[in-house]
Amino acid sequence: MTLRHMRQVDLIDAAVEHNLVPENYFTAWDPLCDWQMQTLKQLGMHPQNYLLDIGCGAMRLGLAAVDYLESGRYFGIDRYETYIPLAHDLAKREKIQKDYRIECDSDLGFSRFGVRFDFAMAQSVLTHLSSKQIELSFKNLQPVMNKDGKFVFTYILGDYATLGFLYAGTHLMQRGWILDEKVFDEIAEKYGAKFSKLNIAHPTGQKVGLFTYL
Amino acid sequence: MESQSQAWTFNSLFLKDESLRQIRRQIYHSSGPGYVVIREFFDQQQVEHAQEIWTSTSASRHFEPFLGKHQFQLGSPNFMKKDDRGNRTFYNFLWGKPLDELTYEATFYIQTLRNRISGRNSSNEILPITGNSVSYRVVLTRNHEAPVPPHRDFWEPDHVLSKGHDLTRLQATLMLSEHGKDYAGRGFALVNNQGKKVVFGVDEPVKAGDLIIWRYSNEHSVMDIRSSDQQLGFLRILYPQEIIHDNSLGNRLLETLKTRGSPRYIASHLPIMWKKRIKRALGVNR
Repeated sequence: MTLRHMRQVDLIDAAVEHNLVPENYFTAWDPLCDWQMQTLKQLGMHPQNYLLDIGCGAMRLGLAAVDYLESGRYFGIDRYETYIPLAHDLAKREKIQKDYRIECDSDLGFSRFGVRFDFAMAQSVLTHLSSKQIELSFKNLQPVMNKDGKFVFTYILGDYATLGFLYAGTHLMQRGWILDEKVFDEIAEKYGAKFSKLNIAHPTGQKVGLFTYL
Repeated sequence: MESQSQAWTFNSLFLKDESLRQIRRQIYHSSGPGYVVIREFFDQQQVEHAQEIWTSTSASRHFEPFLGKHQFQLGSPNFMKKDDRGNRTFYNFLWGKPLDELTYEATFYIQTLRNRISGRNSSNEILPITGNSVSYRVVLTRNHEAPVPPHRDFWEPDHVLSKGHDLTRLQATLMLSEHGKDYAGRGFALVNNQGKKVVFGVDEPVKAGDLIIWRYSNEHSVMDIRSSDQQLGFLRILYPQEIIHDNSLGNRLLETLKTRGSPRYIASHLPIMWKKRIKRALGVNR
């Protein structure tokens, strides 16, 4: 059983017990979780694969992914430290028995796990990173992705009037401009991958990109 | 001197998450009531001051008549609605000259507190940067059967990705009168997180000066208010985050059309250049 079958009131209670409010992240849990799992499966993820969940949050994707993957194949990383204990708490409530690993890391240090991944996903994460951090994330992914590994990510094309923002009213974050998808071609070439746009509808209308590692 | 200055850093002034833990639990957790009462937010002197100002017969002189929420635009005046039973509503905005500086000042503190409880920036919706802006709505209900029928705000469970479904949203009610003493009838009620209706002043004791911060998506109502000539009525201040409409020329004309309705009125207010263009487009020569 995955968290997707959990009552929303229980999910909100767990969040509130960790001093979080019932924000959209929790109230739109099901559609986003479903979309993430479906997308990864469509791209060929199977239970033997290793998955890196960038911006794992409270394991909205993670709980369903751990349920689907073999034990010890799910790894998550997030910059917002409040989510990590909540994620463990939710996994406990859902009686997750399989091994998984999640870490708080603001430096996008994917190599800390000592694992090479078949799939990586960053759902609505690039929208919370500066241009410098976006490039760093691609740079740090290269050494940890297997050949033919797939990194699927969502993004918004355009300009932001507000670059620096306070996530949840307190946590310092930045946004970067992605004015043209050509930037992904350039980054892909630099870090040993091929970029393609995916024609997949996203629940909140973000665009979906894919890096396939060469 | 140095340690004193430490009290005024950004970090020390900012309302921290940790200090809000208990309040958030009371409001959002299924075991909590869905509201928190901050007792004596206004002291007795402040209550009496606000009562006097907002019930003054000359208060209405400084307000434009309220015709609908489409009037709410950046820079718009404050509005007022009244009826022949003595019921009054004052729609006030932070950009307008305040009738009362105490009421105005309190709005900033209440909005900041509400914002931080709900996980937002302190400054959120003080100005209409995102399209919404806090207002302070002073309501005096003297006699009315159903001033606010039961409803829920920011509650669209079938559209969880919509901004219209936002379970973090809070409303605040600053009580300026007391059930039983200033008015009779039912009053302000909220369905708590356990699904039970709580009538403030009856099931939950509240006095004038108390601030109630409550979950906006829980069903709420104000029903059956009765007051005699010797009583104040049900006086309170709400803090709705109003949609602030575009005040460009085109939009102003559109809103005027909706408000005034008369094509002749519109025609008389169109800039000459526009009239010429419209006539040309319609093939009208005169």
